Amino acid sequence: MTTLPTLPNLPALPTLLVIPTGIGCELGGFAGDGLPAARLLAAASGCLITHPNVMNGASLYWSDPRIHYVEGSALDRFAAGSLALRPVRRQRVGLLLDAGIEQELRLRHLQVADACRASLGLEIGPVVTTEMPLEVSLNRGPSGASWGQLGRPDALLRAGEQLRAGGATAVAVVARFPEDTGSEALAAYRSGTGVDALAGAEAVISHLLSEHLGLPCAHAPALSPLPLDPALDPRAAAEELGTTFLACVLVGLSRAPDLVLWPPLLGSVAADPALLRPEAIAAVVAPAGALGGAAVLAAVERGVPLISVHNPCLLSVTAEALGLSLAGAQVLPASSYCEAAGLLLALREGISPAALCRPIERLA
Amino acid sequence: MAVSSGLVLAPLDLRLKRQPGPLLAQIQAAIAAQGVPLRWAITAVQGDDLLIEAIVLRNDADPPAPGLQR
Repeated sequence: MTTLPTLPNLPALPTLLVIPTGIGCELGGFAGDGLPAARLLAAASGCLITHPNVMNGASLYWSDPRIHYVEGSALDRFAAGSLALRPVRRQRVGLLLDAGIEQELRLRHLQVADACRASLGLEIGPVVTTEMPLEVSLNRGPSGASWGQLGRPDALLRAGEQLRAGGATAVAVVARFPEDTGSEALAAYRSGTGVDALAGAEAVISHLLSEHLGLPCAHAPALSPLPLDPALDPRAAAEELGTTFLACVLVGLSRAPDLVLWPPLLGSVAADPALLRPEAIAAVVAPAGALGGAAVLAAVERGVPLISVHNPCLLSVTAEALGLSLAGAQVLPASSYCEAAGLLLALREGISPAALCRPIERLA
Repeated sequence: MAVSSGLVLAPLDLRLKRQPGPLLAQIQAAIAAQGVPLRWAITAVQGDDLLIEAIVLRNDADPPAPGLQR
């Protein structure tokens, strides 16, 4: 039997992958349908840092040691150089449940958590219920992007504090979301043409909690199951496999890296060789029309090359519109995530991307 | 920000005329005038104007700057 030749071990190229939530990205705007692209970019880069919206497919998930699951606001701070990431063997994931969840739906979520303990070996607990319903509401901005609010942010934060005091090192939040069964927006989403109406509120909840606690956090909405739709788009199908969206969140958080304030106050922390430092970020990958977010702008302003991928969405905030190239940013357009993976591999190998395009200009 | 029952999440729509230089600090300063920035994005660019949608956290006891809430 012949053995396959092995590729030489190239140093990893730490790469941020951003696919913003709630703006209808053709790829990554649905139920974990950015995951195949994340896996490809992780293979090309050897180290991918991305956010729950990319990785969460309700009952579906993928665990890859090259992919770091980092909540959006922490990703923004990492890109800005004010956080480092410390990979861990496991987190103790506290479960924060909204008091507005009905008893049967609450039991479903507790059983999912038990299943993840029994079948996957995750460490989950304690469980805390908010002292009052969180009162989640959904809305849209003028652009059509989904947003949302909480009536009682204080109740969320107090429950999070209780979990941290109880030993949780990461927090999975489940909030009761308003049902919009029968709405045009939901029908459009399920048919693959709309915006994820829940995503904006989910991001607000996890941002709020993660910034307050300094812990990895992610959110799953609690909703009643939808009636069967024979025309369901494959990209939205992951959310209709089960009765909760919680399993992917628990798995993602179970190995999410610790968030370390950067630069650290203690020299011993800075010397930790396992730390993923913000200075190490070597590329950022984002949809070409959604470049106006905090992580992308922070990375670009710190001189990190930007791979802008054709991935249609509601927005047209392009590198050209923002004048990024004129401001000195290195912007590499890619027609697909396959091409983006090739560009990452070129950067990782030290090949100039310009050498791969034709025509190639003379130096003088 | 301390946890109190006065905490509110407020949506904002901003129109910011960009100035020369890096954008991030300009945007963060504009949003911070309304509260603690929680999540934001530039959602359109019209010439030198940036349209920004955001959510900020603030305490009800602190009145916001006028005319910007959604």
